[in-house]
Amino acid sequence: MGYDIDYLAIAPEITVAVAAMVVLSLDLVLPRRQKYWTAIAAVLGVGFAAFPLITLAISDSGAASMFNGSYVVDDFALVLKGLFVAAGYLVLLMSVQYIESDRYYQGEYYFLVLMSILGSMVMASSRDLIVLFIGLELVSGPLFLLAGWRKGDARSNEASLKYFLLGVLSAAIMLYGMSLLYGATGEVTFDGIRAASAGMTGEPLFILAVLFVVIGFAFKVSAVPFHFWAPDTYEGAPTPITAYLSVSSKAAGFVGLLIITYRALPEASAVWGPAIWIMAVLSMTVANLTALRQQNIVRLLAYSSVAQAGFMLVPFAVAGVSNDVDALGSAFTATITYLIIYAFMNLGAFAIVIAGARRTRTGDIDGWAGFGRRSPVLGFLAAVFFFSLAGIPPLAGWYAKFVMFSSAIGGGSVWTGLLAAIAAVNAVIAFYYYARVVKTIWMDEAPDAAGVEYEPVAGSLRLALVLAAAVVFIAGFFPDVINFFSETTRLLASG
Amino acid sequence: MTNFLLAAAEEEVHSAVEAAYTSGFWAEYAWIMLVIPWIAVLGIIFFGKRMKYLGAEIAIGMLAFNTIWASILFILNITKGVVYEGAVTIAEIGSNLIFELGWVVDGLSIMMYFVVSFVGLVIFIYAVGYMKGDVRVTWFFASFTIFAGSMLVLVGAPNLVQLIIGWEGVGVASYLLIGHYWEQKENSSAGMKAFFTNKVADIGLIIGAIMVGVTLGTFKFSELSNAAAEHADSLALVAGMIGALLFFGAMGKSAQFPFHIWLPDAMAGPTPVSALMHAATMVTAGVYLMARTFPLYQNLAEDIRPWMVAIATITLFAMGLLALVADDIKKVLAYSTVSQLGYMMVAVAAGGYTAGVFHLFTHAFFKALLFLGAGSVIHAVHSNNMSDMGGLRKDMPRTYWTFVIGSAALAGIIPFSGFWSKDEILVTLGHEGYTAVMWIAIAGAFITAFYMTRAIMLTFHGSYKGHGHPHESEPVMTVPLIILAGFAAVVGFLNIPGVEFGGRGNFTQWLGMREVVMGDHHPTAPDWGMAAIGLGAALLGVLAGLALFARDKATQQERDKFEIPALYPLLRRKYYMDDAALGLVWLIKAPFARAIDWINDYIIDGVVNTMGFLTAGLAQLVYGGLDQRGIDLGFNAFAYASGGSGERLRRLQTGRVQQYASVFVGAAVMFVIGFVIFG
Repeated sequence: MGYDIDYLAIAPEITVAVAAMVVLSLDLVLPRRQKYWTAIAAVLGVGFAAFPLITLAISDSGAASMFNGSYVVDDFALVLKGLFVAAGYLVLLMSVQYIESDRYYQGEYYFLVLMSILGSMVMASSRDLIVLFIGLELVSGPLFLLAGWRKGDARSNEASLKYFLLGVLSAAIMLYGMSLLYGATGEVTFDGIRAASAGMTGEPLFILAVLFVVIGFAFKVSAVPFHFWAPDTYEGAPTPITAYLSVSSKAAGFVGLLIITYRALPEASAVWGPAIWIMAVLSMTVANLTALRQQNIVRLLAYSSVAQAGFMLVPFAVAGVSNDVDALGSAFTATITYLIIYAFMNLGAFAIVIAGARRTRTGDIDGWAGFGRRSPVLGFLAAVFFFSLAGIPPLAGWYAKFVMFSSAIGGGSVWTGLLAAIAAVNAVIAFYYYARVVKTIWMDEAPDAAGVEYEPVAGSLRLALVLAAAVVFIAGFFPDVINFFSETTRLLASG
Repeated sequence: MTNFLLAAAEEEVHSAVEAAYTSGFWAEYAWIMLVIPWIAVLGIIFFGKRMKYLGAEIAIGMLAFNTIWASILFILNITKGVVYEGAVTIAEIGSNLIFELGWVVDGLSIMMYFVVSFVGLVIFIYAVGYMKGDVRVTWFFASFTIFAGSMLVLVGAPNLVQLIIGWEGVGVASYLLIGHYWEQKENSSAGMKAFFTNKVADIGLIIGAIMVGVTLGTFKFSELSNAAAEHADSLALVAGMIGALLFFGAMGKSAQFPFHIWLPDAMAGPTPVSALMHAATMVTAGVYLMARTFPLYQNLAEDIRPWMVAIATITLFAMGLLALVADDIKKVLAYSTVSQLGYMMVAVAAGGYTAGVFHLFTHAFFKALLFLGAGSVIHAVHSNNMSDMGGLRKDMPRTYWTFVIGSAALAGIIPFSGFWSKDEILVTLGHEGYTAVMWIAIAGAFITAFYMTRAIMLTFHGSYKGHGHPHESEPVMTVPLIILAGFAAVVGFLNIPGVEFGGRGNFTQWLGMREVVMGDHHPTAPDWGMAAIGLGAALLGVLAGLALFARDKATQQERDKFEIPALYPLLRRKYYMDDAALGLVWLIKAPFARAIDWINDYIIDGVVNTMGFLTAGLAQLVYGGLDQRGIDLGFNAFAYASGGSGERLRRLQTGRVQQYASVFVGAAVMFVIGFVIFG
C-alpha cells in the first residue's frame, strides 16, 4: 500500500517503455538504409518484456499494490499483460515486411505500436477510473495515427479520420459517464465505487453513468450499434494495424469492460447485464448477416471480429442476470478464455491475409481462388485459422465457443437460454462465410494461373504464422492450458 | 491426431470399469485402433506420393491391422464377454466438469470397430482399382483415412464431447470426399449441402451435449445411462429435451426425413466413398448415437419416442418409393439407404435396441456390396444411368451374381442376412404395440424388393444400350465383391432367436455386453408367422418387379416390327398389356412416388432454398439497408437535431462519419431512455 513504487512489479511496463525510447533514439541516429534496426529493437524489446512477466508469474510474492491501490499487479493483470505482450509481439512480426516495403517512417511506426502496447498493459493493472482512462487513451492515441499510416492512400486517411472522430466521441461519452460515476459515489477507485454503489442501483443518475461507461467500452470492442467505424477503419488501415485493432485494442476494451463491470459495478448488474445482452444479440446477428455479403476479405474479417465480440459479450450478459458467485466466476473466465483463443486465431487469419495479399495482390475473396494449390502451406494455415474461427474441433476455436455456450446455458434463466439459442444459430451462419473463404482457396479454379509472381514470405511473418498456428493447435488439443490461465483470473471477479 | 494424446499420456489412465467380464490386453490397448488412423494420415500425406499405390498401402495396412484387432475383440466378446473403459483427462472445465478422451470396449463398440474396420478395409482395397488413374489419389486416400479414423474416434467415444469431435471429423471428411471432383461445381455444392444440412442438425447435438454436461456434471455415456436407469431427479426434468435434441442431431447424420436431402446429392463423390458412407461410417453415426444413449430413451424420455417412430416411419416408407423412379443406379441405392436407416431408427425408437443395431450390422455388408457392385458397373459403362445399361450379366458375371446376393439380402429374402434383421424389426414393432407401423414396414419390404428387382432387370438383363463394350472389372475390384457377398449371405444367422453359438448365446447377448442393461425385448424362438408375412411381401415385390421390368421393351418392339412381322400383332397385343402394366405402375407410382418426388424437389428443397434465400435477403437488407443506407433514413432527423441544419452541407462533404456518430449517440440515448424510464 501507499505510494511506494514496486519497480520489480512494473518491470514489464518499464521494459516496453524503454524499448519505445530506444526505437525512437535509433530512428534519429540511423541512416535511412539501416532503419530496419528499429524493427529489430522493437521485436526484441517486446520479447524481453516476457521475462519479467514470467518471473512475476512464478514467484509467490502475491499481488503488488501501488498508488493507494490504484495500480495493482495481480494474477489477472499478469495473464492479460502476457496476452498483450504476445499479441503485440505477433503484430510486430507481421509488420516488419509490410512496413519495410512501404518505406513509411519505420521508427515512428514501431514507437507508436510499442506505446499502444504499453497502454494496454497499464489498463490491465488499473484499479481506478483515472488510471483506466489514461491507459485507454494510451492505447487509442497511437492507433489514430497508425490507422492513417499509408498517407498516399485516401482510404487510409478516411480510416484514420473516422476512427479518430468516433473515438473522441466515445471517449467523451465515457468520460462523462465516469465523471457522473464519481459525482454519484464520490469515489474513483473501483473498490470504493463498489462499496458506495450498493444502495443506488435505481437512481437515474447512476444508471446514466453506468450506461455511458459501458457504451464507451462498447465502442472499443466494436459492439453493434457502436461498430460502424470498424469495417471502414479496418479496410483502410495498414493490415498489421488492422490486426492490432481487432485483437489487442479490442482485448484492451474487454479488459476495461471486465474490470468495470465485475470489479467496480457488480451491484449495477441489472443495468449493464440487459444492455450487454442487447449488444451481444445485435453484434452477433447484424455482423454475421452482413459478413455473408462481403466480397473483400478484410471487410469480412472486420465483420467477423464484430461478431466474435458479440460471442465474447455473451458471458457478460449471463453474469448480468445471475446472482450466483460460481456462475459469475465462470462467465468471467469464459470471456478471458475466449479472448485469449480469439487473439491468436484472429492474428493468424490476418497474418494469412498479409502473406496472401503479397501473392494474390488483391483483397477480393474471389481473387484468392486457387491459392491453396499455389501455396499449399499458406492455404493449409488459412484453413486452420478460418476453421478455428468457425469453431470446428479440434482447433482452438471450439473450446472458446464451448465455454461461451456452457456459461450461457449454465445461466439458468429464460434470457440466457434464448441468448444461447441465438448464439447457436449465429455460429452456423458464421460457419458459412468462414467456409466460403476456405472453399475459394482450395476448391475454386484460379482465374489466371499464369503471371502470378511468387513473392517470398518474410521470415518474421513465417514465425508469426507458426506461433499462432501452434497456439491454435495446442489450445485445441489441450484446452487445459488456456483454462489454467483464465482460471487464475477468477479471483478478480469474486473478490 | 486427437489420439496422440492417448499414446502420450497412457500412464495417466485413471478409470477402468471392470465388471464381471474380462478386459485384458486387447481391450486395455484398444486405443491403438483409434490412434493409428491418424498416424496413417500423416504417413500418406508425407510419403504417399512416392509410393507405388500412392499411399493406399498405408491406409490398407492400417485398416488390416484394425480389422485383426477388432476381430480378436469380437471373438473374445463371443467367448468371454468384454467390457472396458479407459480415458485420459484433457481438461477440467469449471469446478466439476471433466473432459476426457478415451475408448470404450463393449458389445456395441466392438461390433462397430469390426464393421468400420472390416468393411472399410474391403472398400479401400476396391478403391485401389476404382481410383486407378484418377485425380489426386493420395489426397483421396488421406481424406478417406480421416473419414474412417473419425468414425473410429466416434464409436470409441466414452463421452459426448469425444463423440462430437469424431462426428465433426466425419462431417469434414465427407465434405472433402463428396466434393472430390471439385472441378464441377455441382459436386462441391453437393459437399456443401451435405455439410450444412448436417451442421444445422448438429446444433441439436451440441446443445443436447452441453445440457447433459450441465445437469449431470459429466459427459460420460456410462453415467448418463446409469442416471437414466436410476431415474435420477436432476436428469428426469430435462430428459425429454435432451432426448429430443440428441435425436435432432442424429436425424442429420442418419438422413431422417426431412434431413434426408443431403444423402442423394452426396452421390457426387467417387463410388467407394458412397459405399463407405452408406455402409459403415457416416449415416450409421446417428443410429449409433441413439443406441449408445438408449437407456435415456428407454427409461426417461419415453414421451418423445412416438415422435421418433413417426419420423422414422415416414423415412422408411416415403424414401423407399423414391427409389422406384430413380434412373441413376446410385440414387436407387441412396434412397434405399435412407429407407433402411428409417428401419433401424424405427426399431431403436420403438424400443428394439438389438433389432436396430443388428440391422445396422447386416446392412453394412450388403449395402457396401451393392454400392461396390454399382461402382463396378459404372466403371465398365462410364455412366450412372440405368438407361445406358442393360444386359450386363453376360459381360460381368461376378458383378451380377454378387449384386443379386446383395439385393436379395436387402430385399429380405430367406436365408440372406437382411431377412433375419428385418424380421427382428417387424417382430419388435409388433411386440411394442406399433401395429400400424409394423404394417407400413411390411409394405416397405414389398417396395424394397420391387425397386431392387427393377434395378437388377434394368442393369443386368435385357440388351445393352450404352456405348463401347463393357468388361468385367479386374480382380482387385471383384474379389472384394465376392468377400462381401459371402458376409452378406451369412451374417444374418448370428442372431436367429434361440440359436446359440459357443458359450455366450448369440448376437443379442454379445451386443448386450454393457454396463447398463438395455431392457429391450428378445424373442426366444423364431416367429415363423411374422417371417412368412415379411418374406411374402418381399417375394410379391420381386414378382411385381419381374412382371413389369423383365422384358426389354424398346428393343423388343423394334425386333417385333422388322424381324418377325408374322408375330407382330400378337406381340403388339402383349405390348398393350405392357402398356396396361405401365398404367398400373403409373397408378402405383404416380400418386405416391411422383407426389413424394415432387414434395422432395419443391417443398422440402424449396423450404431449404427459401430459408437460404431469406437469409441472403435479410443479409442484403441488413448490409445494404441498415449498415450502409438505413442510417440515412432512420437517423437523418437525429443528425439534424444533434448537429443543426447547417450540418447538412458538411455531412455531404465528409462522407458518413457524422451519421456514424449520430447512430452512436442515438443508440446511447436510446439505451439510457430505455433503462431510466422502463428499467
